[in-house]
Amino acid sequence: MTTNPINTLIVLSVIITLFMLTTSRILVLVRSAAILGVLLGLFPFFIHHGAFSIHTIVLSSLGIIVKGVVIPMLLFRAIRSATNFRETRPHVGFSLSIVCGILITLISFGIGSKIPPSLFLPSETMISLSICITMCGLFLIMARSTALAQVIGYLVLENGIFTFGVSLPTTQSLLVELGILLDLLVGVFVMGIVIHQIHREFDSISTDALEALRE
Amino acid sequence: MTSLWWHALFPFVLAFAGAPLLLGIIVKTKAFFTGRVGAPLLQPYYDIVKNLSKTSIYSTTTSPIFKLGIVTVLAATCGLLVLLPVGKCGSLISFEGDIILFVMLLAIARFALVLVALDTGSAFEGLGASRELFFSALAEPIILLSLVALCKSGHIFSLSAVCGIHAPHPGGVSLLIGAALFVIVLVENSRIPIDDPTTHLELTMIHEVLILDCSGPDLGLLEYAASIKLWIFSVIVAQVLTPFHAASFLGDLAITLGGMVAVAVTIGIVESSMARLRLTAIPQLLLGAGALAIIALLLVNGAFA
Amino acid sequence: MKPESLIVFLPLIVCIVSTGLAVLVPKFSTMLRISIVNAFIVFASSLVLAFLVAVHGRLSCFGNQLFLDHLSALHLVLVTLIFLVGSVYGLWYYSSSEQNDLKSARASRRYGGLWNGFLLLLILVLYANNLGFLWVMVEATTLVSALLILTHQSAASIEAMWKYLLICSVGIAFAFAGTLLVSIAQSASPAASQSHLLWTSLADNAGFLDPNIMLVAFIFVLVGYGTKAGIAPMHTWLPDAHSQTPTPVSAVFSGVMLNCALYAIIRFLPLCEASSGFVGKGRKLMLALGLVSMVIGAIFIPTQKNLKRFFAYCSIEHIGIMCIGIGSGGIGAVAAMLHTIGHALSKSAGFCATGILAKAFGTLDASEISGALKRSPVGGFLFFASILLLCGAAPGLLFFSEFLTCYSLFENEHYSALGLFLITALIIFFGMLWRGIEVTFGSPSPKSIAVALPWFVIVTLCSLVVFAGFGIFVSKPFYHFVVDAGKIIEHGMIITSMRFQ
Repeated sequence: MTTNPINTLIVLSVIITLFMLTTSRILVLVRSAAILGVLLGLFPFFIHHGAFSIHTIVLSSLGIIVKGVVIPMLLFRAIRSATNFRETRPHVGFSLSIVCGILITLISFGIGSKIPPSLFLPSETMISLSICITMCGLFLIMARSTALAQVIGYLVLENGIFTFGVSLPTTQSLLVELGILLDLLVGVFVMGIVIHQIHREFDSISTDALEALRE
Repeated sequence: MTSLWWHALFPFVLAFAGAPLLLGIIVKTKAFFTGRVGAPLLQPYYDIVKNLSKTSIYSTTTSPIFKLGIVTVLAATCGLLVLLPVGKCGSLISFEGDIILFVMLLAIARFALVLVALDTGSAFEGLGASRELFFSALAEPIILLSLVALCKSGHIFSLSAVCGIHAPHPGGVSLLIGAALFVIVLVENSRIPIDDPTTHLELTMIHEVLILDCSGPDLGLLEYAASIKLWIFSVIVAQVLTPFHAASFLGDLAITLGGMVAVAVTIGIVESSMARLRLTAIPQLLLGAGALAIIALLLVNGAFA
Repeated sequence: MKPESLIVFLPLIVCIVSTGLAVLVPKFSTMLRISIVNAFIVFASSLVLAFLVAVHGRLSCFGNQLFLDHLSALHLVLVTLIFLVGSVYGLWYYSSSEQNDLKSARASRRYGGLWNGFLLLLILVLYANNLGFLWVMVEATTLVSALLILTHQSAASIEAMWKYLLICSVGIAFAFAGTLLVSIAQSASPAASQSHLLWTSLADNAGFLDPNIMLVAFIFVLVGYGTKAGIAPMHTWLPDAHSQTPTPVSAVFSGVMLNCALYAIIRFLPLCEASSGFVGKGRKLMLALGLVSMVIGAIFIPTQKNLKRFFAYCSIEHIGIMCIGIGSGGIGAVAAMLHTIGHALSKSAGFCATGILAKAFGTLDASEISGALKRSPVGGFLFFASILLLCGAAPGLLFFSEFLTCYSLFENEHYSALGLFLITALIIFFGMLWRGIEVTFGSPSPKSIAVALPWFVIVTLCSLVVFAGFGIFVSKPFYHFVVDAGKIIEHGMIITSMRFQ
C-alpha cells in the first residue's frame, strides 16, 4: 500500500498547483508555493519505499526547510519592501487560467502515459506530475503581471523539474536536489533584490510599467 | 448487492414524503447559527399546503406552455427519483447508460422552468433565466464528469455505481467527487454562495426570480419540485461520501438518510458562514469543481500508478 | 605538481585574487587598473594553455574535473582577449564619463567584484568537465551578469535586467532538465563508468547512450542554453540587455557570454549525435533554429534606430550563422569556430566604437548622428570597419567563415537552407550598410564634440579590426587548431590525453 500515500501527495500537489493559477493574491500565492514545496519534499520518503536512510532524511528535510521556510521568508521580505503594493489584473483572467490549467493537466498526463516505461526513468506518474507543475509554472510567469507573481511562477517551474529528479536512484537525486535548491535560493535572493529596485524606481511592482523598451 | 424489487419502493416513497424536511433542516441550521429558534422543521410542508389551497393567477401574456411547463418540471424531477439508487435498495429502474437519462431529465426540468419563466414576458424572469442557464451550462459537464468517474470506479456504466465505490483509490476518488458534487448541489439548488434563497431583491435573484410570477398550486408544485431536487442531490453526495455499508437494506437506508441530514446541515453551515459570491466569480468556482472532477477521473483511470 | 597544471590553475588564482582586491579597493580607477592587469595575465596564460593543448592534446587535471581541449582552449583565448579589450576600453570609458554614480566607493567595489567575478565564472564554464558543474557555472554567470546590467540604474536598465533575469532563469531551468536527462541516459547505459556526468567519459562511451533520451536531453539543452545564447525564438531579452548596459559590458556580453552559452550547447551535440549513430537529428534542429535567428535578424536589423540594439540584433544573426554552420556539419563546424572568433573581435570593436560615438554625439539614436568620420576619425573608422566586417566583407575573417558555411550547406545538400541564408544575409547586408553609411559619412551634426582617445584604446581597437579584417590570411597552425576544435564538435574527438596532477 505504499502507492497510496504517493497518490495522495500527487493529487494534493496537482490541486495546489491548479489553485495557484486561480488566485492573484500574493500572500496566498506565496503560502501555496510553500505548501507545494513541502509536499514535494515529502516525496523521497515514500518513493524509496519508506527507507529512512540518512540520505533521504537529510535531503527531504533540506528541501522542506529551504522551500517551506527560507524562500517564503525571502519573498515576504520582498513583499514588505514594496510598500504600496497593489494587486493588478493579470494578463490572463482567472477562468481562462483554470481552463488552461485543466488542459495542462490533461496534456501532461497524456504525455506521461505515452512514454515507455524504463527502469532508469522515473515512473510515468512522476513524469506527468513534473510536466504538469513545470508547465503551470511557465503559465504563471506568462499570465501574471506582478513581478512577485512571476518569481513565484519561477519557483513552481523549478519545483516541477525537481519532481522529475526526486524519484531517481539516490546518487542522481542528490545532484538534482542540491542543484535545484542552490538555483532556487540564489535565484530568489537575487530576484528579491531586483524587486526592491523595481519598486524604488517605478513605485509599483507591476511589470506592465516595464514596457518602455518594446519594439 | 441482492435487492428485491420492492426494496426500491422504500426510498421512493420516502422521497415524496420527506423532501421538504431537508429544507426545514437547512433553515433550522441557519437559525441556530444566528442565535434564533427559527421556523419549525415542518414549515416547508405548511407553505406547500398553503399554496396548494389557493387559486393560481395567470398573467394575460402567458400561453398554455405556462401550465404545461410547470407540470413538466415536477414530472421530470420525479422521473429522476425513479432512477435514483439509494444504498442496497437500488433504484426502481436502472439500466446501462442511465446516467445520460439522468442528466437529460435534469436538463428537461431546467428547460421547462426557464420556458415557464420566459413565458411571463417579464424582464426579471429573462434576467434570471439567462443566469440560470449560464451556470447550469457550466455545471452540467461537471455532473457528467463526476458521474462518469463514479461509473468507471464502480465498473458499471449506470447510476447504481453511486452506491458502492470500488478500488482502486476509494478514498481519494470519493473525496474529490464528493467535493465537486457538493459545489454542484449548491449551484443546482440555488444556495449561497451562488444564489441567496431569502433575498427579496429581484435583480440579485437567480432561481427565485424564475418563479416570481407563479402563484397558488403552481407555486406549490414548483417549490415541491425544488425540494425533491435537493433530496436527489443530497442522496448522491451522501452516498459518495459515506464509506461504509450496513448489512441489511434498512440499515443502509438509515446510513444514507443520516448522511443526507449531514449534507443538509453542511449546506446550512456554508450558508451561514459565507456571503454570496460576485456573479463573475461563480464560473471560477465551477471551473475549480470541474478541475477536481477531472483529477478524480484521471485518478480512476489509473493515470496515477 | 607539474608546471603545466600550475598554468591551468593560474588564471583561476589570479582572478580570485583580483576579485578580492577589486572588492577591497575603494577607488574606481585603481579598480579598473587592477582589472586590466588581471585580464592581461589571464590572457597570456590562456595563450600558453592553447599552445600546450596544441602540442599535447587534451589537458586534464584536478581528478579529471577540469579539462581543456582544442574547443575550450579556443574559447578561453577568445574570452580572455575580449575581457582584456573590455577592461582597457573601460578605463577610458568610465573615466571620461560625466555620470557620478560610479565614482562612489560602494559602486566601484560592486562593479569590480562583478566584473572580475564574471571573468572567473566564464573561465570555470570553459574548464568544466562535469556537466552539472558546467550548469552551475552558467547559472552563476546569469546572476552575476544580471547585476552588471544594473550598473547605471534607470527605469530602462531595470526593465532590461528583469527580462534578462527571468527569461534566462527559465532557460537555465530547462537546461538543468536536459542535464538531468543526460545523467539518466548515462546510468542506463551498460558501459556506465564511475565518473558521473563527466564529458570526457560521456564522449568516449557515447555509442552506448540511449538515443531517444539523448535527443530529448539535447532539445532541452538547446532551448535552455539557447536562451542564454540568444538563439531565436528565445532571444527576446537580448536587445534590451545589450542596449542598457554600459559599453564595455555590452562588448563582453556579445562577444563572450553568448559564445560561452553556445559552447555549452556544442558540448552536448556530439553526445547526442554519437548516441544515435550520427543520424543528424540534433544538427537539423540547430540548423532550423539558426535559420530562424537569421530571419529575425533580417526583420529587425534594418529598422533599428538605437545603435546598440542594432548591434544586438546583429549578434542574434551571427549566433544564427554559427548554429547553421554547426548544424550543417563537416566543414561547417570549422566555419562556425572561425565565425566565433571573427564575430567576437568585430562585435567588440563595433560596440566600443558605438561607445565612442555616444560620447561624441551625446546620443545613441542613429537618426541624430551623422558625419562620424569627420567628427571623430577613430570612432567613425572603427564603426564603419566593424559594420563592414560584420556584413561579411572580404578579406575579413567573417567573410571566410560565411563562405565556408555556405560551402558546407551546399556540400551537405541543404539547398533550401542555403537559399534562405543567402536571402537573409543580403537583407541584413543592405540594412547594416545603409545604417553605417548614414552614420559615418556626411557632415557632422552640430551638437557633437570632439573626443580624445588615449593611445592604448586606439591601439587595442585597431588591432582587433586588423586581425578580424585580414582573416583570409590565417596561419596554418592556427587553422589546424580551429579544424581540431571543429572535429570535437563533430565527433567528440578522442585524443590521447595527458593527465596532470
